[in-house]
Amino acid sequence: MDIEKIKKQFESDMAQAGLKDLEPIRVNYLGKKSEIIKGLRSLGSLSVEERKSRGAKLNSLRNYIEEALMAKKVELAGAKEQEKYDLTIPGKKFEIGHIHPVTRIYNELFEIAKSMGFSVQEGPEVESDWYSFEALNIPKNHPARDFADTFYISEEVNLRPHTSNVQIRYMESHKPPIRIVAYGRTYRRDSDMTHTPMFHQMEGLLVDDRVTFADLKGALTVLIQKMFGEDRKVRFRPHHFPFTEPSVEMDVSCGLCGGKGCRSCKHSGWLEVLGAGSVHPNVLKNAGIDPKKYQGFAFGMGIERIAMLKYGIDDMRLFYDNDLRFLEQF
Amino acid sequence: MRIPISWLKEYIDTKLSVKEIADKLITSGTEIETITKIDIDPKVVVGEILEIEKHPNADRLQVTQTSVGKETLQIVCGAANIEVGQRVPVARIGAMIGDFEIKETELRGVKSSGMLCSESELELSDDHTGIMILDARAEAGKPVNDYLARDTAVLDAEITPNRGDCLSMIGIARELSAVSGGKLNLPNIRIEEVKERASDNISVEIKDKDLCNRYIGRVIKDVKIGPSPKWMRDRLSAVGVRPINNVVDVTNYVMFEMGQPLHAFDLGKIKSVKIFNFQFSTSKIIVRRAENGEEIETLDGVVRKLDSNDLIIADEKGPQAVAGVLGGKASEVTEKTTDILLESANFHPTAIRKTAQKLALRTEGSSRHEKGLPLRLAEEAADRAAGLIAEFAGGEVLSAAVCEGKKKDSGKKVTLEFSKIKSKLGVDISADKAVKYLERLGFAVSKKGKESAEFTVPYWRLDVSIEEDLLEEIARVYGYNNIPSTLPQGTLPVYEENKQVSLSNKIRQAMSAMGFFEAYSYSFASKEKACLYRKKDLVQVSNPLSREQEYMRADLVGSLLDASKKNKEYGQVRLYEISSVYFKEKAKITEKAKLSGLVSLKNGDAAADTVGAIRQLLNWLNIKSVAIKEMRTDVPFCQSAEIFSGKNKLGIVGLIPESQGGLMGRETSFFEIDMGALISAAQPKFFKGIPKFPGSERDLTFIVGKNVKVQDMEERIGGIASKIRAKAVVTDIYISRNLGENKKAVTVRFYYQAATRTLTDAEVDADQKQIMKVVKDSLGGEIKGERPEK
Repeated sequence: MDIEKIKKQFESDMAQAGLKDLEPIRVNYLGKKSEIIKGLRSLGSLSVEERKSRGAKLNSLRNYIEEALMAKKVELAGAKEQEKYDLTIPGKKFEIGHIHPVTRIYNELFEIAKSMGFSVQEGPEVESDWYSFEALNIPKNHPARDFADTFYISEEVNLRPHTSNVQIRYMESHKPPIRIVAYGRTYRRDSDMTHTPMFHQMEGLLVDDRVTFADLKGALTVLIQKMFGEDRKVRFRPHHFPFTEPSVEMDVSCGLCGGKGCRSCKHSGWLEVLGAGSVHPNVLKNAGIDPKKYQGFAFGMGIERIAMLKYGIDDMRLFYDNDLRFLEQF
Repeated sequence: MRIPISWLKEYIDTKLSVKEIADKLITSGTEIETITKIDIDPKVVVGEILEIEKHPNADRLQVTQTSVGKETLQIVCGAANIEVGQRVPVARIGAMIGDFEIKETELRGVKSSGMLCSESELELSDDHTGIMILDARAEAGKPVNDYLARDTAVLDAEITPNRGDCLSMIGIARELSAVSGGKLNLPNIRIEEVKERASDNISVEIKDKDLCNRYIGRVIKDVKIGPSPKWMRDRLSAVGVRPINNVVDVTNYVMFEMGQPLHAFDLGKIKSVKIFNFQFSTSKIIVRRAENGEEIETLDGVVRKLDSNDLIIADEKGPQAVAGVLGGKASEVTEKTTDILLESANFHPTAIRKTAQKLALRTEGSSRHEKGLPLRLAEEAADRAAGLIAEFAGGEVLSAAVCEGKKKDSGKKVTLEFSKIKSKLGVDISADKAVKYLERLGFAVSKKGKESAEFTVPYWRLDVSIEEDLLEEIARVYGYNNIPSTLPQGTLPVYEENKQVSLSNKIRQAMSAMGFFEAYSYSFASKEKACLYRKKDLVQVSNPLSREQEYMRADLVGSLLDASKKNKEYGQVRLYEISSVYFKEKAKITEKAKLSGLVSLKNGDAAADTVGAIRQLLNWLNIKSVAIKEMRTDVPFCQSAEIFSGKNKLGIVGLIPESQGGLMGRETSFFEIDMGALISAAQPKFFKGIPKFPGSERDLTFIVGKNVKVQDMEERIGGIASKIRAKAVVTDIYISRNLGENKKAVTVRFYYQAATRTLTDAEVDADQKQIMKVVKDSLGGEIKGERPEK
């Protein structure tokens, strides 16, 4: 194969070429069956020396032809009226998937929790009476244990009504300092616009030798303001949970009305976001931690509730309908 | 619980506005859900009816001339109860009645400049039978508001279950007093007793002492049943209780005032003891468990079947009340009643709750009993109610209530170390201040030292028993929001990455990029759907909400298939879910996290989508030696194959035919992979150098029998060792008659690469030759495609 000859032939072909001729010329010189490409492919059969020099020549010829074709194309097309592309078309529709709002909220919360040194933990959903209730200072006849409120597999086994079982399990096997958040599915016998029989929780636990109620306030303020915005106010109200003492419920100022009061916050200016408190000494004791040496705080929140507040979702059942019109918004 | 502000103010001196009262209560732990203020539009004024004429064109309408002070308005009215001279509410032009603005109108040709209002139109009551008639002294033209003798605001409070004491006006007043400093004014309990003793009329026997701690009976004789005073009826209406008569209203009134449920029996209907035809004048109250199947007609007229878990109040003949829940019809106080037995008792909270629940009868009484009551309250409330009955229904209170059961509350004492305020709450509150806060809540110092103090817990606070409870009380009065916000100090534990969470998120990235939507479905399903592709021993919920939620899912496919059906309007449905499945293994309940995906397409090859997604995903997770093999599987309902990484099984992929629950006219395919297997198979990523020397590509097209599996071809090819073959990828599968009957063409692209040199044709050719031979020999068929070039 004479490289110079090919080059000359190409140049003469190009001299006469119009716009329509360019593609046939390209196929002729650079197509799969062209001499140049065949030459490049068969380099393997040559000796090392030959391969080097011939490879370089063929490659430079190929580059020359490619550039000449491009230059000619610009020259010829430029002479004509340049056709304008309509950039306002919708374009190709790429199919991108969507991530469920529950996952989205979890991941945001995990990030914030991680920044405060909390690791993420999980535990069983089908749980024994001890971890779901007894160890959490919820005695035998407590209403929360009623058949009407909790799902049972058997008398001793239930579907956990909260992720607090993970607290106990973790404390049993770890020494303070402890900083964890637990996540997962939880179950209660409820079904309406704001309750579904299955829902998700995230629960936090911090146990150390000196941790105060003021620390609980500080940590939760960071958590909620990172979640909803630094401009949102927070409020703490005394409440009651069997597993914490003192107990507290936390509100965030309403994002719609800025705290002035509107329909979405029932005219109070506040939205309830979580429950928390200092870990009850009985709970520490039950999990094998000495309440005289250690203390701590715990908090828990419903993920769907946070998602409803954050995204303005008004019906909790939507989370489990798997309606694509819902899912594709996230 | 509803708290009418005017009622509350009877027990506390306060200058706080309604809003301030609500805020004080909220921030001290009594959640106020709504504040209802029934304010009537000031454009609704008092009118005096001057004239009434028949409407010329309508029989039912009347035309009035009504004075509203300086003016007289012509108003058409349809109500029959109006008379000349009455004072009535007039909604003037522009007044808002509900959402409706009053405008000047013409009714059947007669002009009407306003509206005469009924109580229901003003939202004062449900009474819409006629126009509301105001006090005759009301001055025409003045706002109606001025003539409604009441503070109209009502707070709706949510009381936490530990604070049964706050289910009363006095309880709320105590809270408000502690946090606002307002002075408490508790009612003066006075009764004048006559000489005759209650015990001459009744006796009480508590048979089941485990369910009844205390029973107090007071007897009031010669009462005259009639309506209770208007203010009492108004207050009861405001808390949502229908006024009945002066005796029953007092029992309800005292319950809302003090928190102790009471019940009044018609003493004449309580059967007395009869021995040998001799009727004793003493009636006997027996507090006992019901017998199985025993029946009682309750006050609401329903006959209820009881069993031995239910506590009842009975006489010698049978049940007279379901203890703590509802009274019986037989001994109901009626207009004819003259003698009253007033019950004030302390029952076992759980027993009452269970009975109320079973009978679906959550009454105001039962909801107080079930939270627990102090013993002492029974006595105080009995005296208070007896005094009020005597005051409003006449009659005489017999001396000495009949009391059975325990007499005294335990009188708890709790010690507080003052240093705990700082170390547990994280705020400096002086010992003196802390003591003062507790005293405001009714705690009394029983011992005081420098470092600590011992407190007697007030009898009504059943919820306080340990030091932490005292700390909460101090924090509440100090104000949770006044405690500083600090960040936890102390050493950080070692951060542990959660493998399941991080792997799930990697999966989500890949699935999103491939156009899959993340689904979340309920963990429970019907028996049929809980386990679609594999026979498992299912976990059954013993009290499901419905049959559709009776079993825990053993696989996720059923849920995804359901979801795809709900979305059949969409031509393409690609869903995945990461969640646990549950089943029994050797009688032990097992939970395993799974990743499942489903593709349902109107037009297109769903299986190719699914398999492609699996391969992309596993590659993304850097899982090596992936193979999808058709093997003997225990999937009964569809064609399926198993997914492997080397020898480790990861999961399953399958094709759901229309006949097996797939969607009509669509192809549906699924996969399910074990998350645990993925976690162990996923490898950390390492960069592999980009080759410095050119590689080489070859295509081969094998024409083979239609039933030859790609998997078999790949295995044969993979079995031929080669140091230069980087990979072999199936790029096309083509089925056509032109190839011959039952043939298909499978094109494979081979990539050759050596790390340290450019390959020679000879070595590539050698490998290609061997491949052709092996495939031909083992699977038959012929080879088409590019011949190696020389």
